[in-house]
Amino acid sequence: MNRRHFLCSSLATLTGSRITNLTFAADAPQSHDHLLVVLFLRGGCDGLNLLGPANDKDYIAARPEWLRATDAGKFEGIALKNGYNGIDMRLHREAGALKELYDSGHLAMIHACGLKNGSRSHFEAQDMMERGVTDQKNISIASGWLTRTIEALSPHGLLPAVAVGGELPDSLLHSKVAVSMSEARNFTYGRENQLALLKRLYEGSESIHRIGKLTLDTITALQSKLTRDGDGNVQDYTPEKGVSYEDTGNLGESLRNLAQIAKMEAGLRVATVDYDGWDTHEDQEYRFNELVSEFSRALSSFYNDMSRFHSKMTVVVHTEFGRRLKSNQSEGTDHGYGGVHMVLGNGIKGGKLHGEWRGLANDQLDEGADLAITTDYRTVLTEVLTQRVGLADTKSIFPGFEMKKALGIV
Amino acid sequence: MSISPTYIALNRATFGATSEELARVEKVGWSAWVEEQLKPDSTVKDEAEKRIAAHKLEIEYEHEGLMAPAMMMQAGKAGAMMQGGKPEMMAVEGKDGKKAEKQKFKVKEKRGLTLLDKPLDQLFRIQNQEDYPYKEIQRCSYEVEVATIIRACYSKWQVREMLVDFWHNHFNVNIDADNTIRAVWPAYDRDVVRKHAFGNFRELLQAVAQGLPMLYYLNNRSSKASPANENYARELFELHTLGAEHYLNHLHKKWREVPGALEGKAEGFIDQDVYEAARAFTGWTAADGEDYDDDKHFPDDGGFYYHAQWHDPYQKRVLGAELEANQPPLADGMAVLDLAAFHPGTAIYLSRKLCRRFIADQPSEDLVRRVAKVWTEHAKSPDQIVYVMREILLAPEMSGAFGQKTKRPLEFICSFIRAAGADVRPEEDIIDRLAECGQHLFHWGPPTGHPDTADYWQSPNSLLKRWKFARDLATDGFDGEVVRMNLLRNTPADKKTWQEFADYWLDRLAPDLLEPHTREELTKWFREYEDDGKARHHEPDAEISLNESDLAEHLGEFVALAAATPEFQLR
Repeated sequence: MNRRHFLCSSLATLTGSRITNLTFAADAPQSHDHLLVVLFLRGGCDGLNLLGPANDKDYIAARPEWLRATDAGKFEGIALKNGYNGIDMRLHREAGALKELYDSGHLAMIHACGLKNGSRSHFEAQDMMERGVTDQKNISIASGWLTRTIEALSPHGLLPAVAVGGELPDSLLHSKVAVSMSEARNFTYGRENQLALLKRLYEGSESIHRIGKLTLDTITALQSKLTRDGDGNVQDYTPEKGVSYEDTGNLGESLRNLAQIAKMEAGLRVATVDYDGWDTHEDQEYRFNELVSEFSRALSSFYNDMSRFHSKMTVVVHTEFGRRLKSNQSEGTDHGYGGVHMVLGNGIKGGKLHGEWRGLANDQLDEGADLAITTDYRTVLTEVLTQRVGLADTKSIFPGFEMKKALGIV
Repeated sequence: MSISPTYIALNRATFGATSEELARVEKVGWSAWVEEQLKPDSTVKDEAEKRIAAHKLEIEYEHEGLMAPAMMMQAGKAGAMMQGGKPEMMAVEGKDGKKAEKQKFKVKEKRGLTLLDKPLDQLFRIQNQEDYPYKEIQRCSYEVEVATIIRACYSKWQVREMLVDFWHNHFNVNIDADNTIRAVWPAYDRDVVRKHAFGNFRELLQAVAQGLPMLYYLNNRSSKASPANENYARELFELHTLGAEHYLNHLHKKWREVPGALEGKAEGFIDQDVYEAARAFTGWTAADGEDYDDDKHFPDDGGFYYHAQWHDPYQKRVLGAELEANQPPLADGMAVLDLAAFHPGTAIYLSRKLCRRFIADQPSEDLVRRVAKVWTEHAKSPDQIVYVMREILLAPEMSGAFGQKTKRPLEFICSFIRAAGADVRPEEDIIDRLAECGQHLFHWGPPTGHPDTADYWQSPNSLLKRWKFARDLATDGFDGEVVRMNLLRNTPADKKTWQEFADYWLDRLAPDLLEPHTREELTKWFREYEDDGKARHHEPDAEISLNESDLAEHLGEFVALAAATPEFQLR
């Protein structure tokens, strides 16, 4: 049996509905052009180092100060308004740019959030999150949750979904329209007669033909959308006035490329960007500083660059799990459970920590070791998909998932 | 499409079939060819080794230090001979006893691949000097990257090169994780991966576990009681041995409920096994000269070091097996390696992964079981992997339906170079272009290694970038010192007409691989030579009358398009 066919038919059985049959909410806001950006912090971002209860005694007892956001001294974190009832939740000191977004009211953060499966394996946890499932046995039969989202949106644009800066992540697994690319201007091949020949060669029906055809069609689409000077040469991309991506590393470069693609008005609805390196088992202090600083500044530059799109764009930040409350003897932390997720956009109830914070005492922890999850990550996504992106419901996106109560992020 | 079974098998067992190799297999027979490949004769200097010996790579940097980098290299070697001497001590003082002043040195030269044969302790000590230039450290891994591509393209021992690539990905290490990894990379590639590629898995597993690169990459070098660092222990189970398919996470901490656990033979692992195994490996660190207890330091030969003080000696339970407290040095870790390496789940997981590498994204369970049986029967043989590879290469599935694999970028570009008979002398540009296609040798970040299925590699970015890579190779997109396609020189003198040229090159690149429709379209394109923006149609039997440089360019574009066909992306 053809594997792809098997995957599709099994999914249909699984969900009990045809995934392409979704209807739209008539009053869904911006449903025709809202852009969803999913930024994945891969490796398991230490939520307790990124956003911690500065003077919680269990927090202080479990980690040296350099792996905490403290309330004073060298590792003093940035105090936040509207935290969890009276607890002094502080952002990592390198996250100043995030604090600005938070104070602007556009950035909401959800602590103790994640995948309620219990897996402490990066790859299983990522696989499940990106497929929108919590059960390991559904992994092999599901497409990516963003793949299903795009199918439900049935977009008409030239370029509905893009993975920027690498290959397609599993959230876009088996998508028929998603394209991976780095810089738009380089997405081209040879002369017209060469492209025409390749298009004829990729007319077949196997998956390789489909991907080749998608690649070639995207070349044509992008080339028609790039800004050119009088001589027909493609112009360099210029971010909005006052915005710079300087010193924001690979993430900044990917987000800059994404901003360019989004502004081409080629019908972009879904974009993914990955940021690796959060698996800090060792020497966390130094590495985490760099990661948080680069991540915060890159995200902030991108958001400012996208100022015209704030109401019709939502950025979601994920990670596969948080890290162990207690640090190890390598000056790092091992795989944990609950972590910090974020939602950014104009119209988001930002400037507030959402979800429930239970505490870090032994009996409040998962397995006595890790921050327990109080918010299923799909609760966050469901709100975003239905209230921002324009889906009527998420039954086909997250099969079997029933949202108990919305967080009120949107 | 009727593709000969020999071509399919050969194309899968190697970095790309060539017409010469195909002719050889047809002459000696597949099983004889396989036997030859399974016992590489390293005394024969093949094309790849000759090229490596003659290869020159540029190095250029400015350095500020007490002595010239070349002298530092000598000092480092001397330090290595002194067994533990601290090389930087030899040059800190000038003649008059005053502290010497730093000088500026400029280095710009073409240098041979001089580091590939260096012993581990030299590689380690040379870089372990104060102010040792970064470019020289980077050079160590750079030479391995270059040699890897040369061997993939030109080695006679193609199955070995495929296996080496497999093991490097299976035991993935990102050399960016630490400079020290880069420095010792030639020794790791040679004495760990290549040495055991056809050897015994349990031995390979231990060589990896005790090699400095893995000790650094998955942090076990700093793992001490307590809490231990779990990074290595988790990936040991999940990626190196039993595989994620044997992670019984739903049982969480209920070890008694893991099937077989009460008999000491757990069928899978849970988080508790990870925690316990991590404790078993505490104190397994690298002889990297690091200080401890303020005034003491580890040996500095770059090898493995067991530091008993860091070890958690108390009893442990791993996969249902009880490890008594206070075992002799290393016994805990060795026991875990045994449990993992000889676990039936490991036989299945590794067999499936090898079949996936060599045969199909979804190998049949029947095939996997057959291979796993051989794996288990020879679990203690010194050449276990030879038996396993023989089973795989001689399996009927090896020449089964074409196209069940999508070439990874390295396979794609090597298969193009090999089939075209191009002369490529890899350097930075080649490595960077491969990385753009998605395969950055020894730089994959997460410990999974590069993915090995079409789901990942059939993506627009990767596809487009490999098409462009092939095009730039074929049309002077690289320095002439680096790439010589020799398309015209490699065309036999009796080929004169448009049709003859097209036929010759399509046969050479992809004998009976291309669909008739593909062949026809390509040939038609070739005969329509565009001159000053105007397409001119040429009759098939007309003799080609283009000048040499126009023809070379047109032919270059043509073979690049042939490499961009759907058929050429697959194995």
